[in-house]
Amino acid sequence: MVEYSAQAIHRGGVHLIPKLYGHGYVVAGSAARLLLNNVMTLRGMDVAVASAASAAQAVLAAREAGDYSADKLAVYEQFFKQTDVYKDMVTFKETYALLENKRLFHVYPDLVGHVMGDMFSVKARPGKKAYRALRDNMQDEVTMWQMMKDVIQIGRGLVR
Amino acid sequence: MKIQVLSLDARLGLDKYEIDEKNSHILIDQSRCQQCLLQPCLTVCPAAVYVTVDGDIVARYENCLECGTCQVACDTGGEGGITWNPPQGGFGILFRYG
Repeated sequence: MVEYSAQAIHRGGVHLIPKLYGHGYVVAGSAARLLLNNVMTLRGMDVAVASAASAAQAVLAAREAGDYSADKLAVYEQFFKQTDVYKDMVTFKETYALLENKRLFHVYPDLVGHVMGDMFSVKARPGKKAYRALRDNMQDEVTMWQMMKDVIQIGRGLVR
Repeated sequence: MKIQVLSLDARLGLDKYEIDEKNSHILIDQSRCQQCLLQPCLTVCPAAVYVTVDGDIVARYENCLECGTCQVACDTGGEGGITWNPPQGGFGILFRYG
């Protein structure tokens, strides 16, 4: 940590959502690990608002029945799963894996930089075409097979 | 790899401040705080600016990260005893990394 600014963001994703209700309580927003990060946008507030609104609906229904048991509050999850933000969380469920793939942040940016560097700079050494430059820079960092798998993962996460 | 959890004081120690030693940007109306049952300022502040000293609410304003949470919490969950103004120009927290 280099600076504390109370702006920490927790890990989130549809696979990390815990049980949202129990006997006499409901959990919403960040407390329920609700966060939608689809690489392009980082959404926490609208998810929190939607979950809180769903929770409020469930609590109001429970109050009408005078019963705050887990069975009664289970409608919270049903309400929340009908919201658009939840549908977005499901839509982008494969996107989340991209954030966990360290190669996307540590290996590939450097790789692109080095390949471009090899191609665009004039050196007093024999030059390389793009493929040779790529293979040389990939050595010890990533295999072609791994890179192809990552490309498929990016495609799954962001394209379709 | 073991992740080390820094104490709050250690985290605040990483921050850079220009402290306005003449004026506090946080004003507290003790008469309102005395009536306050919930006293949300004691729990919501990420820098633990608010503490109780001999039953009074005290603001250690020099630690303030200027997030504004206390004002919202006090107005909605408390008795409105906190008046939070932005520090005078040039004073307050100096975020170097955003």
